[in-house]
Amino acid sequence: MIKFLVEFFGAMSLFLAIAQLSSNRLNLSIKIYQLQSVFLSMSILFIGIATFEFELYISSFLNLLIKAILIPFFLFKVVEKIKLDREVSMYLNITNSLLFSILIVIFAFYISNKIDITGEVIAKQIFPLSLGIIFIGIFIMISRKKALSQIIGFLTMENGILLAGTSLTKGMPMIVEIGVFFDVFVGVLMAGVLVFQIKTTVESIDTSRLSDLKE
Amino acid sequence: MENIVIGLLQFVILVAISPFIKTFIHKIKCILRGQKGPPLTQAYKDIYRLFKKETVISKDASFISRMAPYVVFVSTLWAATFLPVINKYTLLNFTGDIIALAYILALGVFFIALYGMDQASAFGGLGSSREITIAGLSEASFMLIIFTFALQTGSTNIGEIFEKVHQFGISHVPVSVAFALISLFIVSLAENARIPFDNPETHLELTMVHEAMILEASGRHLALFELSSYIKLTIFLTLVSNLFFPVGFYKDTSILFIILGVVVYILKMLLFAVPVTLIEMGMAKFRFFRVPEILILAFILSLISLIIS
Repeated sequence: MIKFLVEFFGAMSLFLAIAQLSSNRLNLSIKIYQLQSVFLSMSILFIGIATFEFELYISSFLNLLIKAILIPFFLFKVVEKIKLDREVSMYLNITNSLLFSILIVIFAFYISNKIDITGEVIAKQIFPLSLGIIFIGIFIMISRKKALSQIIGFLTMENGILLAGTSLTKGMPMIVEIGVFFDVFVGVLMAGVLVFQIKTTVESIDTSRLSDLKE
Repeated sequence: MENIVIGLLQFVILVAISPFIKTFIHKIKCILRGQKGPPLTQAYKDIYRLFKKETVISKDASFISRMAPYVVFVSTLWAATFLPVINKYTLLNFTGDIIALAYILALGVFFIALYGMDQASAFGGLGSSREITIAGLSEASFMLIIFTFALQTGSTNIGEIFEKVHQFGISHVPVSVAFALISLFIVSLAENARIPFDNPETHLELTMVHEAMILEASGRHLALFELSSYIKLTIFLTLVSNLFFPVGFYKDTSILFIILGVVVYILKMLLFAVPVTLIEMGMAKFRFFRVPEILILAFILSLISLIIS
């Protein structure tokens, strides 16, 4: 039953990563990321229950606090400050990127069949799911034009890495995990400040306009 | 003989409960908005009132307009006779499987679209073209979900699929089940004209899909259309609840188990009606050109669930 719940919440995280590709507003993207973080911390919590590791409870709680509350709160503030610039613009349109995501997921399942994982594994399907989340995060980073969407792509990728790491190793040492969480948080803060800088320089957060020449 | 009685009982339960489910969804929406809402028997009263009224048909209407309400209603009832509710013996168990159910429902969609275009009203044609677009796009994901479960259970007979799913329990193939659940939920909302795709309550010209097609209908014809849309919603909810919440589907045919099955069935239907309500409360209707993107999302999810099953 616990194995089912771990895999179910992992699958919901992958679903939300795919749904991230279909969002056309920055607000909606942040909300989807928030929900994904909630599902991710549920999954980590159930891994913790399955393996009786106390540190995973703390990790799950920190994940909920930082990724589901603090980072979305900050990103909503950024979206509020940069008015009139709320649409997601992209190099590949929504339908095509959704169709591309099926190839990504198939690729993730294919290569994880080739990898031979030794040792005790809690839920076998969680590794290909988290690989899928990582690849979709990278795909969001390279296919979106706006700086804020690229931040969300990075965060999605980071969620996938955390899920893969936790499911394979029963959690990294506590000090490393806390370091990673604050690294992500500070990274997002700095990226948010950079977004304001881009906004003041080129009057938009569209990164493709950074390469335009100015007199 | 016993099997026929059970089949008839399941059919009658499904048809009898369907207006109640529709009113239940409406009632919860009203309560969440802070309104009082209609009494839970409102849909039965509406149908009764409409049956008593006179039917008016436009002078431009051909025989299609006289025929279509009955074809739509009969095809929906026909699909309902395939669907096991609490036991695997249904009335037409031996003649068709789950693929037949999907395409008999599609026959109803075809005739309702013809009815919309028949009376030479501009709204009707608009509604028909939208309905066919949505139905055509959601068809593929629905078939892929059916194939997912057919592959897992080794049969396309609905009774056997439900029985195997209930034997295994939900934790047999969890990952693909999660994707199939979301995909089937999106498809159900699209096929039944619920909120992200169409608003069943509005008669605003630009946004209606299902209502636009039956705008010209009145009296008995309108009652038949409304009743068949209620039954279609109940068919989809039954399918979702029996596939993803495997409780209350018994082999035993004693009276006690039948009563238990019916009670569990009604509770399950009310449970699965709640997410529909919450989505209708939390979301606005999508722009029509956004609908294909969401249906592509459903298609992708069903394809993933088929591949990793």
